[in-house]
Amino acid sequence: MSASRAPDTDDGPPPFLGSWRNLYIAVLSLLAFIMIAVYVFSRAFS
Amino acid sequence: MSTPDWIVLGTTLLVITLYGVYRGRGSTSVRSFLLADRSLGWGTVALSIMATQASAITFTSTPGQAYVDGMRFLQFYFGLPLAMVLLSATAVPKFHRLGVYSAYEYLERRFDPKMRLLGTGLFLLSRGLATGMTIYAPSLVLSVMLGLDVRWTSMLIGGIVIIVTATGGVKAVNHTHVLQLAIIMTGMLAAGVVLLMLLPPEVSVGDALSLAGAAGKLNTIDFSFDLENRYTLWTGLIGGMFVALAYFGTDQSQVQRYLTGKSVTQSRLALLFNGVAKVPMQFFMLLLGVLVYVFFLFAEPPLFFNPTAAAEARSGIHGESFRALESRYHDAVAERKAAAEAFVAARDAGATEPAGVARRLLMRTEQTVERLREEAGVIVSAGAAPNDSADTNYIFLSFVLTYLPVGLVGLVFACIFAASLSSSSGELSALATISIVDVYRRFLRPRESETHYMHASRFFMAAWGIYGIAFAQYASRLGSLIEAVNILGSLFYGTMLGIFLLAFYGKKVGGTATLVGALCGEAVVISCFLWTQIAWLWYNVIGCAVVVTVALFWTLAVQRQRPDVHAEQ
Repeated sequence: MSASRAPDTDDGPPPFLGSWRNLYIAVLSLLAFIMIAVYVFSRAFS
Repeated sequence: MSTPDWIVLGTTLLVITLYGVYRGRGSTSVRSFLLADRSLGWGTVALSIMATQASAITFTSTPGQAYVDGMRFLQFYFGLPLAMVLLSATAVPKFHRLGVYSAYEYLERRFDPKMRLLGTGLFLLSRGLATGMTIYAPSLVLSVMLGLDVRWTSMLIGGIVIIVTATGGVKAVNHTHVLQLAIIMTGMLAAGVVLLMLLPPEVSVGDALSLAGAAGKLNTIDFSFDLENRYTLWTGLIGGMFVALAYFGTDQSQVQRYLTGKSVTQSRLALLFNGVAKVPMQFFMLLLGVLVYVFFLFAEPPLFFNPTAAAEARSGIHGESFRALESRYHDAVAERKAAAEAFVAARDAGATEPAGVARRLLMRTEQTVERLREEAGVIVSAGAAPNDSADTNYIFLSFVLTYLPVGLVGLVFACIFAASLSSSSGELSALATISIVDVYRRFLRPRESETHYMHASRFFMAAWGIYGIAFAQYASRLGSLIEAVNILGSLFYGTMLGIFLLAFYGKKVGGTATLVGALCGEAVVISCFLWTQIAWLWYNVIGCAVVVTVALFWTLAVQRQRPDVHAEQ
């Protein structure tokens, strides 16, 4: 059993949206959209 | 449960076991056994992450919670995507580049052996106790609903987990997680579709949601800022983010999942997928509970959903009161049904004023029904074990057993078993990894052969599983200690997060300063727990803030006294 695994240097861009920054913004935008959608949904039926 | 349902349940469990053994074959080195040779793609890792956090209780209590309390629990998950983004940007590349087996191995590299020991000790204490509960809690619910002895259900869950983890290691665990999550999602979606079909023909989906809204069950967002309120938008975004940061960033049961990714990119994508999928998934589970509530507006639900506890209350010393309560409940539910029917008829006719009248009547009768259920809970808790005083975990399964068609009942129970297996196996593999890497190899037997560590890894996997089963055998005798066990885990997360934040970003902060900060942080969190009404989600924020602040001040103070010393203290 080795003391630790081989270091991983892979830090390339994500397979979509070009950069990690764009992907993070997309995830956070989706969260904002979901929160607004959920709020609108509950208001519509309350 | 009918014979076809037992066949569906048994076949599903057999398939999960065989699939786990099959996918885990070839784990001949410790690296493959504990880290799946870092060979997994982001899809497998993402589903494994989701399966580990989704315990059986998630799938039984979440719909039950929505039935009782509405959908406000959803807000708890709003902080999770924020945490996923932060961890993808920080923790994932750090853990990967250092090539560690465990999160606590990183603490020794960054600080010193005592910090590794502290992290390991806190994890083994909290997660070790929680693992017993992860097996016991669903075993209890399943035993009550299926009429089996809790010893058999816990042995079934624990036995399968031991077979899968001890034979195939983490690779088997992660691959079976994918299968288990697929079974869970299929079962829950099918239950949701059938539930909609079981609503009365005159009740459309729009009517059902309007009824839920009228009864106050669609309370998804609460903008108020109240430290004592567990579920508000702010508690969810801030407190929920800290919980998720601690759970996914410092808890080995999750860290181990994304360490199996074949690259930083794959692990990051897995976490981000979890961030994207988790909130909609919880929304669906809560909506399922709300629809069960709407269904029971038109079909009389039991006064108390735990059938065993209700039977004991009916025949116990308060039996007469309980039966009288059931009679009053029957009348109140009938009145509520009439109000619901009037509301639907008025809504469909477009009659605004009658709809408003029916809505107010529905709210009033709902309050009566809730009050009667609370009274029933008091009677049940007076005569039964403390764990039987709440019936939230039994609501969804009671609906499933009574109203779902043959075959689907077995599938939903298979979902619950699968969820129990997935969370237990994730925790078990993490406990075994910590035991072997951070304790056995590091402090007890540091210079043994690969074969020796391989055997030891299998031994620890099995040993933790046996411990979980043993815990479940005696858990019913622990009474209120069970609640203490549940609370215990939540008291350490803030401190652990503070330690890791200092490790990542406090470049001048050393081990001793972090240790002092951790002790202070834990003392403050325990004080909050004992002497304040602050909602537990805030403990993580408070604990983390105290650890970081004290450690920084300690470092500054030492530097002023001894300018030549920096990172050492």
